[in-house]
Parts: sequence; structure tokens; C-alpha cells
Amino acid sequence: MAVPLSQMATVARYVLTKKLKGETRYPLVLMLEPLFRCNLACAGCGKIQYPEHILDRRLTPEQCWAAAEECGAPIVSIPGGEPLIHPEMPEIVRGLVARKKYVYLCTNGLLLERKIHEYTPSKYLTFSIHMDGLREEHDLAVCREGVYDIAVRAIRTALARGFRVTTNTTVFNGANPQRLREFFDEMMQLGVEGMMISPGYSYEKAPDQHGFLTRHRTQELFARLLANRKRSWRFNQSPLFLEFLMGKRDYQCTPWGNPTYNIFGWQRPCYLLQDGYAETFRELMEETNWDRYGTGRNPKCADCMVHCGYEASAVEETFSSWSGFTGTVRATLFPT
Amino acid sequence: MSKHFSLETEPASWHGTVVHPKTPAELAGIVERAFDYRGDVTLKLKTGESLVGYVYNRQPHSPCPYLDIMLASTPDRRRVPYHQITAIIFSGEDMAFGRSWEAWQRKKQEETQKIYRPKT
Ligand code: SF4
Ligand code: SF4
Repeated sequence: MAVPLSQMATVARYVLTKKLKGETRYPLVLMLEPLFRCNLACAGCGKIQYPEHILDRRLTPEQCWAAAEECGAPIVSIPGGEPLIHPEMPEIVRGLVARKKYVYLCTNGLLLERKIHEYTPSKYLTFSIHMDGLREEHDLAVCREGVYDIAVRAIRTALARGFRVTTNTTVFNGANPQRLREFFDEMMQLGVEGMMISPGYSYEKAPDQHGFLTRHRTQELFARLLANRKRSWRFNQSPLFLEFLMGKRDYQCTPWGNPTYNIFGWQRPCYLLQDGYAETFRELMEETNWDRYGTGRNPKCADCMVHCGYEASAVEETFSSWSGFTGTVRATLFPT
Repeated sequence: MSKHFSLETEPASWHGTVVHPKTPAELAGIVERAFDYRGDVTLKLKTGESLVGYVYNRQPHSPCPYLDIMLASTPDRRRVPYHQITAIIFSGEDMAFGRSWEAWQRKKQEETQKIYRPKT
């Protein structure tokens, strides 16, 4: 199964409407973080290092829906923490689906088998399973043995119940392209709809400052990883973004494309960098000095190529010019 | 628990540091460290009040610079103007400290050596 046509049409209609209105900055994917608590403690994760009283806080369903409405993006990605820990997550998802948002519920899979009966299959709901490679690499990345096998079982269960399932993979420094290509084979054999990949980003506050990639090494690694791509591999991502990762295209970051909302408010400027918070989405969009962020503009952004900064830039190119559109068609039909 | 404080040197962790800023620049600098800190801090205010919580936002460039803190003991958050602050104590555990990839790898290596150590 591929991304439903209705989802592609919704996104295309949304972007074209924004462009016709002359809006240059618009959100594409709301990154909704209803809690920071997680049942794993991956070494590369900068999301979970908070005092207990912060980890105990959660967004209410009403706050989540209000954020989705305020922002207006057609896609809502729910990362974390681990969203399935949130006792009201089924209700949050139901409310977002009722608002016709395409929801990507990102989970490490540990709780999915136990909680899956609380969710209803829908074209609007996708479980996006965190998988950082084959068994050995994944268990090392998440700092716990046995997680890969549980996640694979969760994928099988979700697929058997008729859910849309994708994987999301962070590619870290030292990753072995050949092993990752085998991993892509394995995920596609499991029957997932598509895969999402992104390089790791060196969070200022992430404890692992050595596991992340510099820009040049990212391009080299992704060029090897995605060269001579197998026809069977499907990526649930903009093909132009994949070319960007391979060093074939150059984009500037568009962090407003993936605005982040969490217990602190609207995060400036992006999902990764915490430079403060705005109280409303409008304040985020209008009062953030966006020119301070992106490659070449901010030392913290120097090596960043992550999807939440640059995928919206690639989507923007698709809809901005004939060459962008034909480039997308070519990269979809004949990936190199 | 007080540690020597200098904005020139970044300690591995600020945990335990007590700072009584003497100038606005020093105050702004230490608020920035408190904002970056992955643990609770205690703010001593001119009013005599003490606030313990997590500093999640700051606006050093606003006409009246302020920070936002989520209090540890109640669900509330408070906005505190910089000029009200007399001291900042990095009182809570630094939740990012010592949780590194290297530490994890070292631990794994030690475990492996324990299991596979050849008999001599
Ligand atoms: S599963 Fe995700 S949120 Fe949890 S620790 Fe790992 S990377 Fe962080
Ligand atoms: S380049 Fe963009 S996405 Fe990356 S850290 Fe900077 S603002 Fe965030």
C-alpha cells in the first residue's frame, strides 16, 4: 500500500492554496509533543532529559486539538517522548482524525501490541515506528536489547489489523550503508507502507555529541545509502528531500514548515533547537526572527539536514516551479 | 554546595552552582545557562521569594527582559523579570549529565568483557 491519493491531493491542494494566497511561510506538518516521558532512554535523544515534574506533565486532548486548529497544517506528527504512554492518546487521535488531519503517531513500538485495540484503522492514521536499523544497530541505538524484536512484532500486528504503518529511522555517524540497505529490504518485506529517514542532529542538549553527522559526511553517507535504490524500497518522503540528503540539491531551512507545540508552548524555531517559546502560533510565525536560523546563519544549524527543517523546503520547490515539479516526478519514477 | 562561578569556563555540569550576579551582563549570562540547564533551578527574588522550577523560556532582548519558569511544586508557571532576580542556584539534578553515548558504550563493553573474558 502506498500513501493514499487523498493524502497527496490534500497536501497538494493545501500548498497550492497557500501559494495562491501569496503566503510564503506556512506550516506543513504540526509536530505535536503531548509529553516528554518515554519508556526508553536512547543515548542520542535530547527530548527526555527533564526533571520529573516536567516529565509528568501532558497536553490535554483539548490543547492538542486547539493547536492543530490554530496551526492548520494538514499533517500532524505526534512524536514524544512515547505518545502511547499518554492515557488520553486514543482520544487525542480520534479528535484529530475527526478534523481530517493525517496523523503520524510515532512510537518505539513497546506498547503498541498492548494498546492497539484502542485505535481504529483509518486512512488518516499511520503508526510510524521508530527503527534505527537491523536488530543489532537498533538495540544499540535505543540502549536496550530486545526492542527490535518487539517493534517488529508490533509492525506485524498493526499491519494485520489494517493500519497504515511506516518506519522512521535516524541515521547516525558511523552507520554502515550496506547494513542499512539490508534493513530497508527487511522493512519492505514486513509490508510497511513506506520508510522515513533523516540524519541525526546534534542537539545542544543531547548527551551524545559524537554520534551525529556533519553536513559533508551526511551527504556522502546518504549518497551511498540511496544510490541504485531498489524498486521495492518506498520512502514516505519528498523525493527531492532525499536528493538533498544525497548532496544533489541545496536548500535553506524552512523551520516554520514543521512547527512544534508541546507543554511549554510553540517552540522556537524548530523541533530540534530550543530557543524559547511563543504562546500562540501567530506569535511564533510573526515574532520569530527566522533569518537567524538555517545553514550559514546560525552555528547551531551548521550541520543540520534534518527532515523537520528541510523537507518542507523540498515540498515548496515541488510546487514553486515547473522544474521543481518535473524534478519531483523524475525523482519519484527514476530514483538514482 | 556552592561552586565557583565564571561565565568564561563552562563546567561539565552547573549542578550545585550558586550565583549572585553582580552586573546585568552577568545576570543575562547566567539566565542563559539556567535556560540551557536540564534540571530545576532555584531563583531568589528581591521580594524574598524563592521559586524552584524549570526555566523553559527567556526573552533577553525584550524591553524588560524576563524568563518563564515552570514551578516544581505546582502546575503553575511564572514570568519573572530579570531585574527581580538576586541569585540563581542550579539546585536540581542535571538530567543530561552523564547520560552519554560513550557511557553507554563503555558499559556495554564492560558487560561483554565480563561475559566473554577468556580463562587464563
Ligand atoms: S524512543 Fe524516541 S523519545 Fe524515547 S528515548 Fe528513544 S528517541 Fe527519545
Ligand atoms: S537548520 Fe533548521 S531545522 Fe536545523 S536546527 Fe536550524 S532551524 Fe532547526
